[in-house]
Amino acid sequence: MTERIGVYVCHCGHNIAAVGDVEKVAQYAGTLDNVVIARDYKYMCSDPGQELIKNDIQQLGLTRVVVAACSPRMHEPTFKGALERANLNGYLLEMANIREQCSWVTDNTQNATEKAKSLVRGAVRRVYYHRPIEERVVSVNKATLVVGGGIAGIQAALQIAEAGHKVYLVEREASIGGQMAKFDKTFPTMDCAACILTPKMVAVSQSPNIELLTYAEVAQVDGYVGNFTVTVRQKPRYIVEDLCTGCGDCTTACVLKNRIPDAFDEGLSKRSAAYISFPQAIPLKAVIDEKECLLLTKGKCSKNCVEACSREAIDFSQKETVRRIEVGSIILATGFELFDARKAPQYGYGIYDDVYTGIEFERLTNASGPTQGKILTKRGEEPKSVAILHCIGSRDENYQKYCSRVCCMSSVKFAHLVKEKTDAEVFEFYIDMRTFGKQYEEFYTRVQEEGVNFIRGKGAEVAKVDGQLVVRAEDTLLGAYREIPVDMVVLNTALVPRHDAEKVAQIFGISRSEDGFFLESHIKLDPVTTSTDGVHIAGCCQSPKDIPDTVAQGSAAAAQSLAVIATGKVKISPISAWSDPAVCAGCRICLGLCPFKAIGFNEEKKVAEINQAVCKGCGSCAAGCPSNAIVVSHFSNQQLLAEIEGVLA
Amino acid sequence: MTACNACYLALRRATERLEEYPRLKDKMEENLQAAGLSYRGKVTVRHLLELVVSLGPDVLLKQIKKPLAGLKVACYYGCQLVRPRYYDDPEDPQSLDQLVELMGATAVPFRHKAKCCAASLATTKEKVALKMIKDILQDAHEAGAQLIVTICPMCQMNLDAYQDQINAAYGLNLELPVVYFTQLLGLAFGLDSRQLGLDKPVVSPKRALASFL
Ligand SMILES: Cc1cc2nc3c(=O)[nH]c(=O)nc-3n(C[C@H](O)[C@H](O)[C@H](O)COP(=O)(O)OP(=O)(O)OC[C@H]3O[C@@H](n4cnc5c(N)ncnc54)[C@H](O)[C@@H]3O)c2cc1C
Repeated sequence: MTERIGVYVCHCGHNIAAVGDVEKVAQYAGTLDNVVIARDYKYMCSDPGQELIKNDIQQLGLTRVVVAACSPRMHEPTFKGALERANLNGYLLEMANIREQCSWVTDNTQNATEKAKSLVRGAVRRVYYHRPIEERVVSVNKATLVVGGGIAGIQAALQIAEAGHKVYLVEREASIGGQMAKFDKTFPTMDCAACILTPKMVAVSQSPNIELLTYAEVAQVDGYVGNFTVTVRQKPRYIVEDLCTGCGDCTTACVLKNRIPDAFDEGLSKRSAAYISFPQAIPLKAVIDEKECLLLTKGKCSKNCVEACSREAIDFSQKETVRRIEVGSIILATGFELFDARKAPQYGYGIYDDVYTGIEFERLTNASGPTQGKILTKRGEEPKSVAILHCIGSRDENYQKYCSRVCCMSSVKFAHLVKEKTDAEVFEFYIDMRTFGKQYEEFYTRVQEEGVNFIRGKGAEVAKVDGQLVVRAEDTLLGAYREIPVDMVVLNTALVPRHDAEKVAQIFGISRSEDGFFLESHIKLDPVTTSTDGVHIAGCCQSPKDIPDTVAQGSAAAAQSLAVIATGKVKISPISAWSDPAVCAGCRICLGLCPFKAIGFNEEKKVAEINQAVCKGCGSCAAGCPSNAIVVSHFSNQQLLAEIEGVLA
Repeated sequence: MTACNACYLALRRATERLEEYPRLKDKMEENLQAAGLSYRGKVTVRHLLELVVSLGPDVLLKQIKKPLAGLKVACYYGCQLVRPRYYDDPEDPQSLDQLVELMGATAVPFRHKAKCCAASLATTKEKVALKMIKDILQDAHEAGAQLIVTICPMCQMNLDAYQDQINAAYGLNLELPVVYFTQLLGLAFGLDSRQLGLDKPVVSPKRALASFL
């Protein structure tokens, strides 16, 4: 039987047609074997464009369609829909990408046109061998997993819970809250961070729909959208959570009291081995630090904590627990870390006293921080002058190229806090002021009026001259080199991806962008979904952003997950691999190649078996199979070879 | 291969510009042709330090006959080799430190390792130059260095030759020998100190190197 193929060449306005000669490509396509009709049109994806295809299918009896336009990632679903509306199976379509792969990569008309012709030739030959495929529909587990209990994860979890659905919130630390819990005030309104964050944290702990798993991490994810099985490892707290009231008696009794650098205070204060992260911690339960506790490390301690605990909540026999959780979708909200200022030694961090990072300054100004909120130098004096340096590790070819977005505003916040709490002169060193958000410019103006000195020029160096800290910079407005002596320096360091972002990306099967943050499906139009269906991202794990944007994205991710739940069923790609048991030699090479662990080995029959529900159709196994036993639907050898022959013909 | 930072930067910048801007290449070709010459553009510019380091620690260690144990050295890179970033960190370069450690000596922490030596300002704006040189010498001295090692003859001269004037101007008594890095390497390789020109610097390195000469 021969096929009746229609070819549709899109101008994409000027995008394709300004370089490639679309009419010539269409004319040429008309001469190819089995092509019944070939047309070009200004916007194939528009309603009239799709109508064109639909009508041709119905009136000319087309059995296959080739659309030469943009990337299939853009419009394949659009054109599949057009075919289906004309009662043709959507998989009888092939797209040739003559925009990104032709017109956008050259300004030479001849080259663009010739390459477009060969891609169309390949597509026409390939589509001849396409087979109709039915999409698979599976039902959805209505629970959601949220990973990371910063403000992004909290927002998403609360929203889904309010809609009446189950949420598992997995947080690595002993308390939720994330970075925001460390701040004193938040720009632009300067409301107290704890006052706006704590109610949300409490709501999490009180929601009947949220199961909070702190001190826990996801070790493995199996399955696919609608039906994920997640393995969670929970570290022992050595405290029975149900008994602990968070009274803190164990922390005062601990023999290591005031001996261990407190990570929540960025190491600026010391805590005990038994501790509560911070006064508003959720859950408000003590933890015993197993890396420090004398009993757990040396096997010997007077165990004052046990004696002090009237509830008998301390249990040194606790072990790590492993749980399996079933969910339908996942929201990753693992946030960010801060650039290590030691990597830029020119700023003297870790070398000179009184050089702090921005997050350390947050602790210094926080009422529950190491100085009870007083801004003091190491010697315990109020500084007479403070320098705040923007862009440490951001917008810098040597470290991170990108702008960290929040530091201009947090620097302005720091300046305001110094002015409010001390009589110090404040100098800000900036490249450009980026105060883009709602009420941000107004806040900046207000702080300018408070008498803060804004110096346009990146701080180049922090040095110590005769015992005095000095900041050196080029003031680009004055056109002069300046050296400003100060008592305290705040380095506002870049927001960077978590150190284990790659590992987390692998566990959840998603990608990262060049800057190391998690990659969204589309930077503008799809900032929440990822390359893995059902895995959504929110907050600073996607890119540096402020709290308003983080909260908005947390809500957006919740909406995505709620959409999965609301449909009750999800379509999963029917493109999957199948191994022919008659051909399979049982070598097991494919088992190691499969990134989704979809292939098992049937010991009885000694053949590989592919779990269709887990297979994502990536084709690694088919390419690796030495006996050609594996076929990927929609990517058969016949189809691929025909396409290659066509392109090269 | 260049032994001087300034030459290195000028040559490397020229080759890179030619690669980046084809029009520049055409123009240069035009001018060369007028003189009956042509340039095929196959030159890679490298600094001597980079070449030595690229031999790798194994090869170098084999040659080291006389380890400079106990010698405290400030490694001075100057400002031009490492900027813009090419093969070492512009703010905290390490390759010379590692080489010096291979020789058995100790590289002291040295904040001024990539600061400018004032270059030709030493002849045109002496006052400015003296302050810049003083800061470098003083930092090396405070870091406990017995000797400064450079990778550029101009830096070597600036740091070495003006110590008397600096002492007079600032009321100091600096006396820090400054040598080129191959001189120190040669010593570790067991070569003769005369062959290495170790008698040539203005501030004699004799005392600092006494136990290795
Ligand atoms: C110095 C500074 C000051 C700032 N000030 C302001 C301000 O005043 N106003 C403002 O709007 N914005 C401010 N910001 C920005 C603000 O911090 C962020 O917008 C916000 O914290 C992002 O929240 P998040 O939930 O995405 O990430 P995070 O706060 O980083 O939370 C992520 C959470 O995930 C957990 N986690 C990480 N990895 C895992 C894992 N693998 N498994 C389980 N859990 C994991 C972490 O422990 C953490 O609890 C400031 C930022 C900085 C650096």
